[in-house]
Parts: sequence; C-alpha cells; structure tokens
Amino acid sequence: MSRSPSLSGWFQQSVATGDAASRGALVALIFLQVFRDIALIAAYWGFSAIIGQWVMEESPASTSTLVLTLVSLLLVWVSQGLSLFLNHRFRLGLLAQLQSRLLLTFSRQQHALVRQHSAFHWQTLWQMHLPAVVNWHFDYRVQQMVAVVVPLIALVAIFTVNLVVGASLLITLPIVPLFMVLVGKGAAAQHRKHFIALERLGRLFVDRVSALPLLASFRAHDAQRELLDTAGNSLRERTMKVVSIAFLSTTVLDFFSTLAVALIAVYIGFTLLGEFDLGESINLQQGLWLLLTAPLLLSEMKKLGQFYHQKAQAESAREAMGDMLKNDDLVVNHAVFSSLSLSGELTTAPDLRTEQLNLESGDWVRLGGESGAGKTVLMELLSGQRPGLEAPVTHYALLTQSPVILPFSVRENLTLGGDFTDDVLGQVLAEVELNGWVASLPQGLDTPMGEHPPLSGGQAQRLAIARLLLRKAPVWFLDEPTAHLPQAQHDAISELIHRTCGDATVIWASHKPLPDAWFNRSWQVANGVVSQ
Amino acid sequence: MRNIPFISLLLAILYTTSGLLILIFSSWFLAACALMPVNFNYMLPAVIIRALALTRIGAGYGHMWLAHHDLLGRTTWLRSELFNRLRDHILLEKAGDVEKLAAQTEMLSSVWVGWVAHQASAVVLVLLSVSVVTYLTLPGAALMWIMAGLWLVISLWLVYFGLNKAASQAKDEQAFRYQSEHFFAASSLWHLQLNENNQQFRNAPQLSSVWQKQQAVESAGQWGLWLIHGAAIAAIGALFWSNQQDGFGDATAIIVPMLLLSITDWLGRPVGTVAHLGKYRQAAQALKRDDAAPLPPMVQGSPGRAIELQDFQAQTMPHGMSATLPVSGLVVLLGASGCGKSSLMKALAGLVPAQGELLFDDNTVAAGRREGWVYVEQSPCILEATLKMNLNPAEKPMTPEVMTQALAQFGLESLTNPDEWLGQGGRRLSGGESRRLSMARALLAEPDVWLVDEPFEGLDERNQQLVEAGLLQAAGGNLVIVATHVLPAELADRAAQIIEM
Repeated sequence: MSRSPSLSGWFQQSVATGDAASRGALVALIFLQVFRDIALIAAYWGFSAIIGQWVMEESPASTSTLVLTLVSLLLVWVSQGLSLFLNHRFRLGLLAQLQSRLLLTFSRQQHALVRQHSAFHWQTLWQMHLPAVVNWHFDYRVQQMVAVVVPLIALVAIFTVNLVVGASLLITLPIVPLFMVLVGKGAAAQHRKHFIALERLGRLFVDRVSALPLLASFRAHDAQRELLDTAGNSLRERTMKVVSIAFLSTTVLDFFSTLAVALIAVYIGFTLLGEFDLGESINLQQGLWLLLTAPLLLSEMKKLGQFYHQKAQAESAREAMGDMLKNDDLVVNHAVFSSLSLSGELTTAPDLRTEQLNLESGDWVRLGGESGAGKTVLMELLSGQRPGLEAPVTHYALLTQSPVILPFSVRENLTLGGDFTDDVLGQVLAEVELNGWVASLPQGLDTPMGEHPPLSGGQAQRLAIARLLLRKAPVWFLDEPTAHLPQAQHDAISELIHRTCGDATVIWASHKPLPDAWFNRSWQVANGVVSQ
Repeated sequence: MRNIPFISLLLAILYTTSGLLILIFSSWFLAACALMPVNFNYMLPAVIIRALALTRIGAGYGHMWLAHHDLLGRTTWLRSELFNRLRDHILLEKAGDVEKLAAQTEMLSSVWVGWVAHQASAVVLVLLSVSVVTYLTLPGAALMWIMAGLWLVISLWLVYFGLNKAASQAKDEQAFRYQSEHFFAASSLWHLQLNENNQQFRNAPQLSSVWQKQQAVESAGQWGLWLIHGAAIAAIGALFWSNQQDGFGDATAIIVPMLLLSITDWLGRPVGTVAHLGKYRQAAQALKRDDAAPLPPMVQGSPGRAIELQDFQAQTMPHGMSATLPVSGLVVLLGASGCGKSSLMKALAGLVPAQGELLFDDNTVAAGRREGWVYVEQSPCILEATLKMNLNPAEKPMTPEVMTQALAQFGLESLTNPDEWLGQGGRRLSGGESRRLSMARALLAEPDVWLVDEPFEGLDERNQQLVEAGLLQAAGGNLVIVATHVLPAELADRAAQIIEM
C-alpha cells in the first residue's frame, strides 16, 4: 500500500468529500492564531515602551502607550478565546459527522464488513481513530500553517527594528528545520519502532491474560509471569536506546530557542553597555521587544512538535479506515426482485467471476463449493452488502450458521425494535415449533435471554428463522444454517425451512446433504468461478 | 506504589524553572545594562544566563529520558503485579476488557510524567515567584499574590471537575462497550431493521456523550488558563496605570510585569493538564477492581480402579448423572449441544462446582482441581509464542525428541522448528492444526485423565481421523473422556464405554 496520497490528500478525497465547511473552519482558526500573534507582537512593543519609561525615564506609563498595550493584550485575549470556542465547536461537529459516515458505511456493507474484524477492532476504530483524525485536522494542520506564517511575520518585524539580530536569526533559522528534518526522519522511524514494540508488549500481556485458564490448567502461570517481566525489561532497554535519539529532535528545538534567547540577551546587553558596537544603536525598549519577540519564531514550531503524535495517530487511523468514511451518494433501488442475470467479473479480493449466472423469482438454488471457495462472498454480492451489483436484492433474509440471540427478551429478539403484534409473533413461533418452549419460560415472551440463552443450537436456529419469517422477505440467503447441528436437528430444521419458504426465492449453501428434489438450480463455486 | 521517580521530577522542575529564570533574568539584565550602574559586574550575569540555558537544555533531555525509562519500567511492573493477582483466577470478562487493562496500565504509569511533573513545577514556580517578589518588595507584589491565589483556586476546581467528568465518562464508555458489542454481534441481523427503518439504525450506539465529556475536560483546562491570562492582563493594566513612582529607575521593577506577561508560558502546561487527574484515577480504580473469580484449590487423590459418579450434576445439566468409569481407555459422552457436556467435563476437572458425588475407589473425593487431570477446551488456545512454549507453557525441562513425538502422535510432523513463532506475525495454524496442537500440549503434560471437549467440531475428515488416532493412542494407558455430538465410526468401535446424555 503506497504512502501517497498524503494525509491531507486522503482527508480531502476520502473524508471531507463535498464538504466546504471543514476547510472554512481551518482557515478561520489559522487566521485567528496568526492575528493573535500579530497583536501579541504589538503588545510587546507597548509593554517594552512602558518598561523603558519606568526604568530609563523614571516616569509612569504614558496614557497612549498604556492604551496601545492594553488594547493589544485585549485583542490577544479575545482572539485566543474565540479560537478556543470555535475549535471546540468545530471539533465536536466534525466528530458527529464522521460518526454518521461510519454508521452509513455500516448500514451499506453490514455483516460482510463487520465479520472481517473483531468487535474490539470496530470499537477501537470508532473510539480512537475517529477522534485521531479530528484532532489532527484541527490541531496539527492549523499549527502547521501557523508555524510557517508567524515566524515569517516576526522575522520581518525584527528586521525593521534591528538588522543585526534580524540577520543572525535569518541565517540560523533555516538551519533549524533542516536539522529537525534530519533528526526528525530518523526519529519518526524509531518512534514507530518504539510504538510497535510497546504495542507488541501490550499484546503479549493481553494474550497471556486471555489464556489464564490454560495457564492455570498447565501450572504455567509463574513461568509466564517471568516471561512477561523479562520481555518488559528487555523492551525497556531496547526502547531506551531507540528513543535516546528520537528525543534529540525535541531537544534541538529547545536548544535553538533557549540559546537564541540567551545570546540575544547577551548581545543586546553588551550593546547597551557599549561593549559591542556593530554599527547599530539600540535602546531598552527595542532590546526588550527583541527579547520577547524572538522566541515566537521557534515557539510555534515547538507547538507543532507537541502535536506531532497526532499526525502519527492520524496515519494509523487512515490505515485502519481507508475509504470507510467516504460519503457516497448511493441511491438504493428498492424495486421488488424479479430476476437476475450476471456474467463476467463479479468481485475482487477474493476474485470471483462467472460465465453466466441466472436467477428467477421462486428459484431454489443449491450453492455448492468447498469452505473458503466464495459462497459467502457470492451471497454478500447478491444482497448488496458487498458492492459490485447495480441492482442487488434489497429485501432479503439472511440466515447464518451461528444464530444471533441477543440478551434481551424473546419478544425483542424477534421484533428487533419493530412493530409486531403478539398474535403475529405467536404465529411464527408456531411455524417453527417453538411455542411450547416459549410457554415453558417463566415470563413467556418477555423472558430475557441473558448472556447464556437457555436454548440448544437447534432451538436457537429456529428462533432465528422465526425472526426472519416475520419479515416475509421474498429472497432468502442461507449460509450453512445447519453446520453446527447434529444430523437429526439438521434434518428437522431443513424440513422446516423447506416448509416455510416454499414460495420464496432461496439460495442455500450447505455441506450437509439435502434432497435434490427441493432445488431447481445448482451453482458451484470453485477456483474463483461460479458455474450454473 | 512503587518508589517515586524523584530524579525525574527534579529534572522536570529544573527544566521549567530554568526556562522562566532565563526570561526573567535576561530581561533584568537588559534593564540593568541600559541603566549602566557604576561597578556593574556584567560578565557574571552573562555567564549565569548561558549557564541557565545549558541547564535547561540538559535538564530537558535528562527528564525526557528518565521519565520514559520510568514509564516503561512502571508499566511492566504494574502489569506484573496485576498478572500475579490473577494467578489461579479466571477473568469474567468481555471482549476488549483485557485490552483495556493493558491500556490502563500504560495510562497509570504515565501519571508521573504527565501530571505530577507539571503540577510540581507549577507549585515551585508560583512559590518561587511570590517569595522573590515579596522579599525584594517589588512593585506589583500584591498582584502576584492575587494571581497565585487565582491559580490555586482554578487548579483545585479543575481537579474536582476533572475527577467527576472522568468518572461520568468512564460510565458512558462502559455503556458504549456493552452496546457496541451487541451491536456488532448482531451485524447479520442489521438488514432486517435497516429495511424497516429507511436504511437507518434504530438504536445505534453513540460515542457523542463520551467525546463531549472528554472535550469538556480538555476545554475546561484551556478556559481556566484563558481566565488566568485575562486576570494577568488586568493585573498588568492595573500595575501600569496605578504605579506612579515605585521602583522607577530600578532594573528589578521589570520582574513582576514580565512574570505577568509570560504567565501562559510557565503556567500553561500545568493548568492545561491538571484536570487530567480524573482519568488517572479512573485507570487506577479499574485496575483494582476484582472482576476475577478464583479457581477452586488443587486437591490430591487419584483413582486406582474405578471412578463413580452419583447424581453428579453440573450447572447447565438438566438432571444428575450416575455412571461408573474405568481408569483407562476411551469413554465417549455423546449428546447434542446444550445438554451440558462441557459443564460436566469442567465439573469433573474441578473447574466449576457441581452437586452430587464423585467417588474414587468407593471413597468420596473433595471438590477441586485434580492433579493430573487435564481439561482440553473446545476452542484451542494458541499463545503468541514459539512452538516450544506453546507445547510446554510451564517451561518444564523437556527434550526436543519428546516434543516431536507428541506432535507426531497428532499428525503435526510438519511443525519441525521448535522456535517458530505462532500467532500474529508468525505462522498461522488452521483450526484443525490448532486443535491438534492443544492435544499435543495436553499429552506433554502427562495427564492421568484427559477431558476433551468437542474435539471433532468443525474439522474435516482428515483432521478428524488424525485426532481420533491420537486420542486412541493416548487412551492406551490413561483415561480419555471425549464429549462430542458427532461419533466417528472407529471411535464407536474402539471406545471402552459410550454414555449418552
């Protein structure tokens, strides 16, 4: 996977597509920060003048200077406040927007997408990666601009006051970013290595804690604890070697900014004393102003350095999310399914193609092929969960091998929040022969299933079928529904499906034997080819 | 709590103090040079300034290095302590809880560099400035006292606010984790509600409240700093406007105005981070919580002739079971899923409690885990480790030949390199291979009794045969109890006993 386009390119294309708002927000924030620093430079001028009046002229602050100083400081304060306010508003706004984009992607690709990673992966993506992108956008990107504009303005201002200081800063200034880039590139690579090492150590810890029963069973706990300790200590030694160099990049900035202040102070002091005479005279006001303004050149760059980790986190977010936040203006066609005719390339990764594939309403299709061949992928394509078809089936029922029983009541498990009367629920439960079981529950339909539902595998699958029967979908996708059931249950459930879905269009993938008489079509998936 | 990283903290304080000192001292130096007093020894301040600069740079680097060193060591130590507490316990946890533990140990270790260092610096700086300014009776000393008081009040309020918000945020995060887990688990059902609800989720989990609270803590700190900044500006205005004669012509008059002007520099980090104490406290609390249940203790005793169960009933079994088992050979527990086979096996291994009685040679035995009885669970647990460690997690002395033999018994001859890394980034074993590896591991533990839970589940023909062969070989000298819902023909023939549940 190539590293280009850049992070901002990715943001432009895959995240902020069609949104002028976040760009405008960036500009506003950058402007406020630059304005603040300009006002600060003006405030420094007034401040230094007053100190000059105090110390040299031994007079209290003149009104005009005082007003200048206070107004400038007030402008600094107000623009800072405004910047804070807008930053927070924009941030939450973008987060909400990204969250709804994420949910949109989930609603499009559904199970096909979610089953590729653990729930933890999605939780992390949602909880960590979305804010990472937002933070990078509103902190790092703003500061990137500010760290270029403000030093230039400050440098120009310094030049107009004192050529010597201005010239020496101009000469030394380019060295700083150059040095930083050199150290920074090495530091970034090592920072990444360190991050990976820390991650690995965390993973090791997680792995062993998840394996506690195993460790107890094999009396391996003590040995593994020693391993964790050793791994932690050796990681520390290795990491410290690595970060010793990585820290240099931060220290470089510190070095230059501290030294700049110190040298400027010494130079101006000695010039004031008359020890130096480089052709330009200087007074206390100018000297103090220079002392206050010069650090601005490097302090904004320092702030950028503090936000650097945000860039790293946004990079990880990009790797994890790719195109998931893209806003596609997909229009879903809700026409009732009548027939389907496909040929050519069907999907990529994994690649599937077909010579010719036909499906008519009312067909019962037997889908065969080894595990991993692509049966599930084909069904995902037909149902629209995997993009590729212009007119996928939109109203369907999907039955997977592991039935999902939520910890809520039986009623909620069936209705999923929808509006169904108890009579209708009773009907479908009767169809799947579960009304006896429901009657035996302490609270009937309202009995919560809890974390360990009191259902056998066969009963759970029946409940799942009941749930689907409620929706009267014209097309059914059955992905090995009886894979985990013993033979007797397989026969019973298959019979049940045959009975209740007789009129529907059914695509059934199953390893276990099914009567040929039920099906009028047979599809085979092998070696990336689907054949009829 | 492990020993406090004094040197690291000292370096942090030195770093911030020298930073402020450079600014104040330099500005005093400029004023002094402009005045050109008689017998002014100007070389000394110049040297002091340069010395302060070097101190700052050195202290900065030293602090970063030491703090990082401490952070890594502390994280390892915290995890080690936690791991130790979990010995012979099982975690009653959900997905993501264990990862959270890892993240929380890291978070908690960073409290020193992320919070204490900043606050300690602020305390030292405030005390230093206020005392110096008062001692020298500089113009504006009273204003510095007011600012110090304001800083204290705002900091205390921010700590209080941060603690509350973090607690509330933790609750919301917990709710999100619970909701999102069920949300994602039900992904194969989404198509149903989406169709009924205009392609929108009915009750999607939301992180908005968590983000709002997180944001609130951040912005509280920044607004607190903003208030202090505003007060400092007002103080500068008051000082410049009201002072008609104090300290004029004296270079030290510059000190208070400079302190006030640069207040966001030296109080910025401390005030900005003070509210974060909440999240550290949350991490500490989460690590202390005991979501772990202790396993039953080990008991001694092994049967010589026969094992008898009398009305033995584990938790999810519909009724008690009475049977007699031999001390060697293969016993099959046949039954559909949900009938309680796993619970029975776990109860026999002593991992979960059960009613009824278990007798060895007609003597009732105490409940508990038994030495020499190994329970092989249905989902094989492969450690992120070398093959060697996966086979021998207790690191008992074991020759490579013995390991190779065990692998061969279960058809894993293809795993030839004992140092091969399994798990993420290494060799990925298939479902069947993992299952067989867990059995090879059990074999190497030399158990007297094997309790194997659903070994054939999800395996194809070939893998099933390999497992069968391996288990039959093991049953030669030991008791192997297999719980399964599928009964391969050969097993049915060679089993010493088949119990239907």
